[in-house]
Parts: sequence; C-alpha cells; structure tokens
Amino acid sequence: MRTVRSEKIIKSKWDIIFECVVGFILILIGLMILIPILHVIFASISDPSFVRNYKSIIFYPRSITLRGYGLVFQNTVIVRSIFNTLLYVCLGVSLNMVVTVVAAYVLSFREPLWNKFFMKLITVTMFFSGGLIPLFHLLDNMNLLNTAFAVLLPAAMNAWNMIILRTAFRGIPDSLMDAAKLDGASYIKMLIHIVIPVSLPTIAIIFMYYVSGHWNEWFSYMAFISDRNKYPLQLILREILVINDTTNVMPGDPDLITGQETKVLVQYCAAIISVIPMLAFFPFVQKYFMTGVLIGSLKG
Amino acid sequence: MKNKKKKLTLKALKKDFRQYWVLYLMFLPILGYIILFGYVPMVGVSMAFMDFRPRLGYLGSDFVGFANFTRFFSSPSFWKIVRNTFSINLLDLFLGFPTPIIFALLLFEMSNKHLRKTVQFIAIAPHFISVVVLCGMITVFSRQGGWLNSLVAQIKGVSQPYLLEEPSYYYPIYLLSSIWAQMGFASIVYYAALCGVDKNLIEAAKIDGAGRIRQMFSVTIPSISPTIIIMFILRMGGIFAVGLDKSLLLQTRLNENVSEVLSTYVYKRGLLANDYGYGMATSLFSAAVNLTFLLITNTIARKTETSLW
Repeated sequence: MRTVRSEKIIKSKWDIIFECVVGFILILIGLMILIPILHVIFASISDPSFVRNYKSIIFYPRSITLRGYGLVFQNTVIVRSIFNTLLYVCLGVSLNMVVTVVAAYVLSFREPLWNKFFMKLITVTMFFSGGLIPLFHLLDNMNLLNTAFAVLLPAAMNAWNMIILRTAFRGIPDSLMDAAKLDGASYIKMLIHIVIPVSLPTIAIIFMYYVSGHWNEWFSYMAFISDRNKYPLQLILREILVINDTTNVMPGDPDLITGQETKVLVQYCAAIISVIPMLAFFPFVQKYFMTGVLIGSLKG
Repeated sequence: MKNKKKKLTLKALKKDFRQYWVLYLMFLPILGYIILFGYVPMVGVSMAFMDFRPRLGYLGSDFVGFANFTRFFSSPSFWKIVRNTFSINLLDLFLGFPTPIIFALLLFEMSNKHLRKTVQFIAIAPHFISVVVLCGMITVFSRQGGWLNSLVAQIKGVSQPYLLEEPSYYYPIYLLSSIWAQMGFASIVYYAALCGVDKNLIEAAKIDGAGRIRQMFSVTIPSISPTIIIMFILRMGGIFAVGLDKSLLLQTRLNENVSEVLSTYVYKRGLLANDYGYGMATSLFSAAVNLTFLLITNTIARKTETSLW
C-alpha cells in the first residue's frame, strides 16, 4: 500500500538506475578535474628525485619536503615579481572599483537625459574596439609604455561588470532613495550611505572578478612592459613553466641532475603559489555564484 | 513613457543639467576615459589603409588604399591562418559549447545535494587558475617525463620528446584543456536557468508518465533553450576571436602550422614586427568576419523569437 505522500519519495527502479548513472558520471567528471590539480600539489611537496623519475600521475605525496617553496621564496626574481603583482592588483582594483561604482551609480538613474547616450557610448565599446595596435600607438604617444599604467588605465572599467552593478543599483527600492532625498541627502551621500552598503554582495563579486583578472593578467604586461624588473608574477611563471627556462631565475647548471630536480620542483611550487591566493578567495564568493545573482542581473 | 513625450528642447536640457549636474560632474572623468581608450583607438582603424609610421602619425603616413589587405589575402600564410582559426573554433563549437550544458543537466538531475555541490565546487575551481599556469602545466605534463607524455607513449607505443611539437596532438590538447578549465564556470549560466524551470511542468510530465530521460528532453531542455540560443549567438560572434592567450602560450616553432591563428598573427606582425598597417588590416578582417557571423546567427535566431536584439 502506498500513500500519496510516499509516492513522491519512493522512486521507481528506473529512477534509481538513472540517478546512479548520473552520479557515476558526475563523480568521474569531478575526479578528472581534481586529479591533475592534486598531482601538481603533491608533486610540489614530494621529494624532487622521485618526481623527476616518476612518470605518471602522483596520487599521494612521497617523502614530503617543503624545499621547493623555500627555493621559490628565497629567489629574488620571483619575490620581486610577486610584490609587483600585489602592487598592480592593489592599484588596478582600486581604480576599477572607483570607476565602476561611480559609472554604475550615475547610469542607474533613469531620469537624466544624457544617460541613455552615455550608455550607448559604453555599449558600442563592448562590441567594437580599435584593437591592440592602435592602443599600443596611443600608449606610446601618452608616454605610458613600460609603466604599469599602460596596462591598468585601459582596463579601468569592464563594461559587463558595470552593467551587472548598475542592475543591482536599480534594484534598490525607490522608497529607500526617496526617503534619503527627502532628508536632503546629496547624490554623493546617497551613494556612500545607501547604495554601496545595500549592494555589497554584488560589489563583492565584481571585486573578485577584478582581483582575479589583474592577478592572472600577463599578455598586456608582455606587450606594454619591457623592463624585466617590472614584470608581474605571471610573466616570470611563463618563463619558468612555458618556456621551460629557469636560468634567469635559478643560477646554476640546469644540466646537472640536481639542477634538473630543482627545476621541476620550482616549476610545481611556483605554479601552486600563484594559484593559491585565487583559490583561497573562491569559497567565500562561491555562494553568490550559485544563487544566480549574476545571471539574474544580466537579464535586466 | 514620460521621457518619450518630453521634447528635447534647450529649456529641458537646461533644467536637466541644473537638476543632475552633480551626477554629470561625477561621470565626466569616466566619459573622458571612455572616449580616450574606447574611441580614440578606433581612429587607428585607418592604419589598415596606410603605410603607417609611428613617427609620422595618422596625418603624415602615406595612404595606400587596400594594399595591406591584398598583401594579407595573397600571403602564403593567409589560408593556413584562416583554416586554423576556423578549425579551432568549429571544434570548440561542437565539443566545447555543449559540454557545459550537459554538465549542468547532469547536476540538475542529481538529487543528492552533497554530491552535486561538491562536484560543482570542484568544476568551477579551475576557472581561477591563470591561463599561464594552465598552459605551463600542459607543457610540463607533455614534455618528456611528464605524465601526459608517458600516457600517450604507453597508448601509442612510440615516445615523443614533446607532445606540443607534434601538430596532430595540438588540437586535442588545446580543446581538452579548455573544456577542463572552463566547463564548470560556463555551466553556471545553464544551471541557473535550469533552477528557474517551472517545477509544475516537470510534475505534469511525471504524472503523464514520462520517464526521467523523457522529462529531460521534452520539458527541461526546451525550457532553457532561450539561454542556450543567447549563449550560442554570443559564441558565434567570437568565431574568429580565438583566445590569444592560450594560442600564444602553447605555440612552439614546430606546431606553428596548426597553432597560428588570426590573433597571434596580428600580435606578431603588428607589434613584434612593427608592421602596423598590415597588422591592423588583419585585425579588421577578423573583426568583420566576427560581426558577419554575429549578425547571421542573430537573424536566424530571430525566427525562434530569441535574439540579442
């Protein structure tokens, strides 16, 4: 005897098989994504002579050592590039946040006559741009080449992020804004005391996007900066990992076995060090992604 | 409604300015920024028709008409580059585009909350790994001694010194790593759309006796088709915009035949070789193709009543 209530809970035989297959595929996907990451983590803390000779995926670390991390953090080139990156991220993100918040705030008002025109100006730049070469020429004329501003200024605002934030600002109840207006609050006061505090979750997502964008950026630095002392971490990583050249970073003979071993170790450790800050960030904002906050605002 | 009726008279503009001048003042620097970095470079498109010399500037450089374009179209690398750009994109369209949708569907069909959340969390994480590290790891894995290299050697029976230097492995490596890194993040859009599907519809299908697979194809997938179509149009608009980052990072001298795409070519010829006019012509060609594809797809999509505009 089944009751109506339990009919919803009891699944048919086919449902159970279906769920099992889905679950199995999902676990498989999860493992396929996770295993290469774990391999890198385990390789970075394992004994280098083992890593060099072991030619398949490492499923657990052997004779754990943190020597690689020590080497990376003692290395002046890498440490300098980490400081450079931190500086660029701070400068870039501060600029991004000010520009994006102000632009989204101004454009969130529907009444000002010019706003539609401003919005059109921004939308056009999302689809059309002069491209790399004219930008290079412009930066050259502005004497910005070989400075961090050559990278940070053109990226001061991302139009998508601005639109997401504008939609969030528009979602603030009119009553809240009207009440502030009646109290005689100026536009700037309204921004600081109402709009920003109310929209903090969305601002946090945008912040996260900008931080990870600046942290991971490499191409514009390569195109616009020639002084090696100003290189961010990603460019040094490119040398170590992609070009497979540690001579600028690690003095010593790379042809010796010990040299080969340190090279492998430094490669894995440097990769981990560059990824950890972003991955550590991620769980905090993950819940915002899941709730579809962003998607909802994109439609608006 | 009110705004449309209001006529744009000088009086209205004055009143508007008096009321909102603070907002306009706040926006002024941003307007300057947009014009400087968004619109001034557009003047640079004219480089495509010039023998551009940076010292002479736009007015001083010689006008050469379509010479740069003919030079590009008749160059031996033209077909190679177009072929590579299309190949990567078509492969990505057939494999990279559907995987996030399938993944989102699988997540949606999974009733065990813990498993679903865990897999979703793991799948999104690679999005935050920088492209340099991703490509760096690919190169480390595919060099001699790397696990990918050994794996391929075991399957094929022949060992390669470096997988990326073997042109036939370039596309599989490129595509699989893209899917690995982006599938989870790209699935968020679809997953959110799936969560918005009317539960009553699914219940109704269930009462009508539809099995799980039938429900999926008859109810769930049609319900998210607007999202799929929009994402597809946007994807088509980027058909010629192969990620510069990855191609540039994974390129080696020996795989150039398959890895050279328009964006890498623009960078190499335009900036590294200082052939500004030629690079700009190439870049303009790529933008024109993208726009054409965007317009065509949007026109087709309009017939299904879902389109960008």
